[in-house]
Amino acid sequence: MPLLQPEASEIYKVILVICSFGMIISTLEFFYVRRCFAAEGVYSWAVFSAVLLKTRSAAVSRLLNAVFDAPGVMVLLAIRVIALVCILFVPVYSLAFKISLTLVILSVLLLTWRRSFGDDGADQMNSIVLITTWLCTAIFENSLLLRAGLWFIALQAVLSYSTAGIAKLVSPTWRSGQAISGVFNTGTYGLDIVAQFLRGQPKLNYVLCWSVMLIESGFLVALFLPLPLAILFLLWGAVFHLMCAAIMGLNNFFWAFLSTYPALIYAWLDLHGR
Amino acid sequence: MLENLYVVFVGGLLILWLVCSVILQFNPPWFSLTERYDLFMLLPRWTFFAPRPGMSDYHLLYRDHMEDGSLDPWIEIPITEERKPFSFIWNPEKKSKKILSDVVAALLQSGIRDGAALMLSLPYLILLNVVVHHGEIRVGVRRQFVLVEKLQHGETPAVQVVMISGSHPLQRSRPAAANGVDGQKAAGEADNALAPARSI
Repeated sequence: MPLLQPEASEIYKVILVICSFGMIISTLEFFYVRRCFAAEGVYSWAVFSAVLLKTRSAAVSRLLNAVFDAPGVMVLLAIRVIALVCILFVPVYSLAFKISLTLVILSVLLLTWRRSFGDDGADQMNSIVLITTWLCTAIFENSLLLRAGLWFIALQAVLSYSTAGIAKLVSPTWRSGQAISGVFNTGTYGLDIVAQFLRGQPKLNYVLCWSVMLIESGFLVALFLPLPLAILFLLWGAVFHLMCAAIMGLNNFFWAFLSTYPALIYAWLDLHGR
Repeated sequence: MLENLYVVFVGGLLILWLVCSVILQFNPPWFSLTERYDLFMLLPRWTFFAPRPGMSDYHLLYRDHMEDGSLDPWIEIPITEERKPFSFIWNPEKKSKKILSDVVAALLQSGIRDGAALMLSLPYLILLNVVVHHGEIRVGVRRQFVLVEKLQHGETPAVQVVMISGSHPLQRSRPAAANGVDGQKAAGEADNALAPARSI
């Protein structure tokens, strides 16, 4: 089975470009709502530090306050967005790429711990993609490493879709066809116009629920299918995430999960000896 | 030699990460210990909206207890963002609102509904901080908040109170840490206030 040695690093580049684009939007969104890191905001450090900070050292407290209070968070976000923009334009094995990726990962980990709440599946997939890329490109240029990392990202993507599908298959609410209209009927993840349309359409609801369940679960075998069918899964995934962004406001999922698709394509090609 | 060792190390790490990720999807009770140590949330949970899809909305309301004993009407603090036509690309309000729904979910999952354990928890303190800084802040007034679940599905939405706080004193022009968000003080005060404050 031939290894795609020269192309693997370019696949990481494509993955990181898609991932970075989404993360730039997400980071700018944090700047837009920066008031929530203020004392009276939902992410007030005064509140979080009361629970998260377990040090008696005044020096350590001062350092952590400097990093995690509102001004420090803005600095972390600024570093993140600059590093993400840099990633878009520099080659994978360059020093600039390694430094930028390291800074992005550090800012992601620090802010994940700092926030404790509010992260979602897209953020988790971004972390997986970023850290895997770092592990497989930052220290050594090695084709085995590249291959292992791409397979890991691909398998995490397969795990995410198939878990989501199987978890729905065991749910009576999903199997009865009520889940999608029920979720779209909420203020948190719904849209009035869509909820109203679906309200009197039990057969359509049923078809929508079962198509989501079956296709998501089907990702478990997508890598073993002929290429046209495998591509259909990816096209469905792209449309699915676009609809989730439009109806549910989950805009970051589109970029986070699409960034895994180059790895899925690589895994398919590797599996089928191309 | 070093490179080979590193390749083996990374390979082993990725395999371990993947195995742990798979195990976590089944949510075994003994594996939940990892949650405490997964500070950076690197172990993913991919069970989106399943097996129990979220078909309820949660509402956060507060009211003030005046010095003369009278009660102000309940005021709602929105915890969902208003969807705009371009929200599929740019949705910053989700960042500030999602934490509130996550915090509500964490409170409900904890199963703790009253007492010091509740009032010293991060989810409670986050909600309290938001509540005491919302709207008009009048000195000498005590503020109380409530979480209400509204099941949207069906013709007649079902409404139930899932948690009601004690009443916390408001102080003008004080930092958040002293403006009712003092866990120890809140625990003591709310223990006294919680029983009579339960009836809305």
